[in-house]
Amino acid sequence: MTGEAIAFYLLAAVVTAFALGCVLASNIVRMALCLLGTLGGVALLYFLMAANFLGAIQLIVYAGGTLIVIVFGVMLTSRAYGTKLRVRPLEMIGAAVVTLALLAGLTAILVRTAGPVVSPSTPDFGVAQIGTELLSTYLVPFEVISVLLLAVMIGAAYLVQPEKK
Amino acid sequence: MPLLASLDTEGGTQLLQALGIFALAGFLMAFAVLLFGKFLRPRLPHPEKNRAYECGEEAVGTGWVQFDLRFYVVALVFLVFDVEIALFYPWAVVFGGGGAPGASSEVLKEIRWAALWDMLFFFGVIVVGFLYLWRFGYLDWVRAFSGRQQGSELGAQDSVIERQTKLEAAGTASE
Amino acid sequence: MLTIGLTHYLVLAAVLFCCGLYVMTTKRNAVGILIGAELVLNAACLNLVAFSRYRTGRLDGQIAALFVIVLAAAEAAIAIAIFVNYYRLLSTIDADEGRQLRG
Repeated sequence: MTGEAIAFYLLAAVVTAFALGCVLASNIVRMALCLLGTLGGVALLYFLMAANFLGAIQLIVYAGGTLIVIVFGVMLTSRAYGTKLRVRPLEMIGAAVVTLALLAGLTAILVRTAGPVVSPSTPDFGVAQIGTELLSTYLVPFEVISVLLLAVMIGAAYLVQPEKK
Repeated sequence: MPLLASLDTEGGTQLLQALGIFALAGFLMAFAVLLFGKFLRPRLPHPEKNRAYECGEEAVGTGWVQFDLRFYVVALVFLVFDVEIALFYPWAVVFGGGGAPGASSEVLKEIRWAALWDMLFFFGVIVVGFLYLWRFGYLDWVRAFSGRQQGSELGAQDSVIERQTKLEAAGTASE
Repeated sequence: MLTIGLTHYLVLAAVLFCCGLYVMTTKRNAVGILIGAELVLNAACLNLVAFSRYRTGRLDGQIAALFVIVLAAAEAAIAIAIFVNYYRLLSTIDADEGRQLRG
């Protein structure tokens, strides 16, 4: 058993446990906390796949920014903390059946079509390569993101603006 | 800087090992200090000590109140600039001469100038949004408040508070 | 089984995806649905990075994942703004109450 395998199975267990926590938690704050665990575990998996910059960005932007906004959303929309929205049992069973069937099908296909396990022969990429790619091949999406962020900033601020008479 | 440079490109298990050792050491340090203190300190429990503010105001109500909406705009601006950091960092590495390893100084200079213009456009567009929020008072704490009180918001707010109070009363009654 | 390959990551991503799908379909809190969407996006990102590492050997997957992370941030900001309006309108965050929104 190599170190990589140990690390992968450990992280996979952590990620799966937190994702299941998201599924089973009925309290929205606990769900957000479980999402934090999942995001952290996925970031560590990026580190394991030698995508260091992406793992750091996952922690900074996803766990540090997006999750904060989601928690803000919880705090802004829960005046009555603890009023639980019960899931209807029929919905729950139906969704569970469909999801489990999908999971079984996906896993079966993935395992059946799995090629021989090849260890990655690719070089590990650094931030410099990502920067060069971003500023050459992906320059247009990169610049369009700035327009998107502009739209998000103005649009979201306008949406939450208290109505004036 | 050889360690940092190697951590940049050399991923996988080594990095995770380093992170794991770091986390373990941090945990053990904090744990050892707490354990050490447990043996030294006198133990005199008192119910007064368990209150939130031992010698201050009595805590009233629950901590789960609704946040004010004005915080959301601040969180939004934070998120946008957070994303900006994520995109600025690779740009900064290229601008600092890290891009295109092995290129001649002529090519490097060209790449850097192109990168500078790209980033100026990117930053300019985002600053337009920031200036919009600033100019039209979205970041303005007091004006937003007065605008809120004028609006029809107040009536709705009151009814919600009323309902909430009823809910809480029902909750305590059932307990 | 002991050497980690592409399939391991893909199966893990499938598990994450199904968890996200279940959360999206069953939770009634609108913010909960958003959390499910984030789980699904994470599964997609994991797939992209795994393919980039084990198949293509180029950076395309990582950059696509970077864009997904940035877009997820933008999506969450707009979604929360919409939920705040929804809450203001209906005084509840239960997504099932949104039936009366139809024009």
